[in-house]
Amino acid sequence: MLVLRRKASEAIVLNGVIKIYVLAVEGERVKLGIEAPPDVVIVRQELLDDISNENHLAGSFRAPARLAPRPQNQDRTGQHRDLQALLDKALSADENSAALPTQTQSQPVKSAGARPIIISRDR
Amino acid sequence: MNNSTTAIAAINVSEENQMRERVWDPFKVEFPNGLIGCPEWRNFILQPYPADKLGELVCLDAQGISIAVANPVWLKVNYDFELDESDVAFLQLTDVSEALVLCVLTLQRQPPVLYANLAGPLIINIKTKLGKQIVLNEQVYPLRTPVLDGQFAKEFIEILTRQPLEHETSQPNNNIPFTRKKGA
Repeated sequence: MLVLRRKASEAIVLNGVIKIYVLAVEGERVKLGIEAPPDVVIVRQELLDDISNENHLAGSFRAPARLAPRPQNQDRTGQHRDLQALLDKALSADENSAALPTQTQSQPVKSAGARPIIISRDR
Repeated sequence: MNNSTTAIAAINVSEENQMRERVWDPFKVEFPNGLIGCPEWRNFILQPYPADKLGELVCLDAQGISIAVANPVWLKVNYDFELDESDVAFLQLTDVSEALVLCVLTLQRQPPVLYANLAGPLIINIKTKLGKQIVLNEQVYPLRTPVLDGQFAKEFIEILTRQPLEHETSQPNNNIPFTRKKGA
C-alpha cells in the first residue's frame, strides 16, 4: 500500500483523472473531496461490507432448514402458490398499515452519521 | 451498442418497464464479477416462481447457496435510479426493457422478518443473461427494508424453506457455509 502524508487543502491525482482533495482534518475525521469521471464508482467501504454481509446471509437462507428432515415428493406448485397468496394477502391487507414498506417507513440498519466524503462529478 | 449506452441509463422501476409481469422458464445467469463480497458466486440459475414476483437464484459455484429475490415493483417500493454507463456497457444493455431488476431478500427467523436489500440490487440483462450487483445510495435505498414481519413473515419463511429445489441432492449436506447472524 502506498502511504502519503497530505495536509488540508492538498490533493492527490489518480490516473490523471481522479482528484482527491483533503478538505479538512477535524479530530479523527478527514473530510475528502473527490472529483472523478462519471464512470468511476465511488462507494464507502462500509457499504460494500454491509452488502457483502447481506449477500452471505441471504445466500444461506436454506441452510437452517436443511438441518431438519423435510417432506419429500411434495408438489412445488403448491408451495409457490402458497407463497404468492400469502404475500399478496400480506401486502394488500397492509396497504395502509405499517407492515408495508415505503421509503419513509423503512429504516436503514446503520444510522446515518456524518458523511466524510463529498462527491462532485462533472455530469 | 456503444452509441445507445447513455440513452438507456435511467431505470424507473416504478413504471412498468423491465419489471412488468411476465413468466419465464428458469435460465442461467452469469455474474462475471460475482456478487459483492462473494466474487466466487458467479453462475446462477434464476428459478422464477409462478407469477413472477419472487424467484430464487441458485448458485452453481457453491453448494447450498441460493438467494431468494423479489420484484421491487411488487414490493411497492419507490425505486428509481440510474445505471452508470459502465454498468450499461458491462451488462451489454441496448434497451432498458432488457434489464431485469431484482432485490435480494434476507430471512430473519427470530423474530421473523423478511427484508429486501434495496441498496444492492441485482441487474440482469435478460437477453445476454449477464448480471451485476450494483450499489445505490443506502440513505435513499436502505440495506434492510422490512417487507413482512410477524405471522406473515413466519409463514413465508416456513413455506419458502420447506422444500429443496428439484435439482438439489437428497443427501444431507453438512458443509453448508452458515453465516447467519443472530437477531438484528
